Amino acid sequence: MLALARYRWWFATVAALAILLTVMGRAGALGPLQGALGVLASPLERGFGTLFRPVAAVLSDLGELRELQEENQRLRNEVEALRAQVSELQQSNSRLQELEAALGIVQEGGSQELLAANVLARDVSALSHVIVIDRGAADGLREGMPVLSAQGSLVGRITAVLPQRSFVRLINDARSVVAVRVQESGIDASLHGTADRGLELRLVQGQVNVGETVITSGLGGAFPPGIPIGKVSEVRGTPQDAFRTVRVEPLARLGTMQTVLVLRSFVPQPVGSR
Amino acid sequence: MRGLLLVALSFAACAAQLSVAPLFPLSGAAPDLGLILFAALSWRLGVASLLPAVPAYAAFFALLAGRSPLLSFVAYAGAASAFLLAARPVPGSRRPAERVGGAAALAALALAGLWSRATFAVGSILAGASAGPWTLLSELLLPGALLDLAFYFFLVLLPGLVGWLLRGIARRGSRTYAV
Repeated sequence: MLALARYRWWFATVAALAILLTVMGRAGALGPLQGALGVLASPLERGFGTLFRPVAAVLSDLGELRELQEENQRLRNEVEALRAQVSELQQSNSRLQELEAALGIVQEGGSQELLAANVLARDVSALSHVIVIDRGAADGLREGMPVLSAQGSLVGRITAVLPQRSFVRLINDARSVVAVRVQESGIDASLHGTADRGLELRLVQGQVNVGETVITSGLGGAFPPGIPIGKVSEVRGTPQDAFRTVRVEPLARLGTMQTVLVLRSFVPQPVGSR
Repeated sequence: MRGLLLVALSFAACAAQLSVAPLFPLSGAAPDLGLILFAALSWRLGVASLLPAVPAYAAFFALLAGRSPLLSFVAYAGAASAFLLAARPVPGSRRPAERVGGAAALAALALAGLWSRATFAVGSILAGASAGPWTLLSELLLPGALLDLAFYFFLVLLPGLVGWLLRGIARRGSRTYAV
């Protein structure tokens, strides 16, 4: 410890700097500095990402070759089943439109306003999974807005907004909680991020089976209802167990996605704020 | 000038931490390129080089990742203590700088990783995350230490070894021509 005593002035300076930045952050004075640094860092982050993504992809593919082959087969089967469903739904839809027209029902147009954004950076430090996107307050983004994958499944929500960029806490961040419903059985539960950046259902009251779809329930007002999140991938324990483990596989590839959609039309209304 | 270069290097390492490190996850951990930079600097340039680099990196990380500055400074200044403690005088050097030796650098890197990850984990737990001690150890601290050591080997030790071998070959070649 004597060795460290030589550096006491350095530690004192570092502590002063930390306190100064914390006070500035609380006062909201760090925004311009964050914005300027973000502008400087963006080209570097893009360059590094472009350079190292192929290397990571090769390593990842080598490790998951067998898994990918099985997933490919499963997806082929799913595509076949979905094609059949689409065909049935198209027939039902045209029939519904005919009936609506006959009854004079006017349907409101889709009011979802989505804004595409690119993922600039990721913070994957301990128990955290936050992405930085290239849209901010200047694009009309606000704290709490839900963020979806390009395919429309929930990936997270905005936690902080700067003029040109925003921070999005992903659903598999260990601090994240989403009120959800298991679509097939109608069971409500809460979805939590885990330490290994997975997803786990908690407070599940009832029978849940592997393969069932998990969607947002809308309870609590943080997310609109009905947004798909993932599928139940593992159930350990019985409905009578107090601490049953129900793992959920997200529909989106949370670790590698490059583009997201911000649901700008949804204004979060947390129950506590009313 | 040297201080400015170290600050610029810290900024580049921070940008890499937010763009490259997430591409190489192991369980719940990712390599910490900031710590790898600190280990490399203390080995090659001496621990004095950490004095501007560590606070710069902590500040850049807090600002670019949107983390609490206090948490970031506690994590990285605490981690730097491991390198400062492991420092020893350079044999035969006229410079007052101290360097971290090869094996000591690895031990300091592992210790620094444990400290910084545990600090960030405590911050997340205080913000609502739930994780038990065993989960933290098996999902975060051990895989993180493994990744840091692997990246240190590939980014710092291996190029150093290759450079040393090439220099040796060149020296031998020049000696042959001199004869």
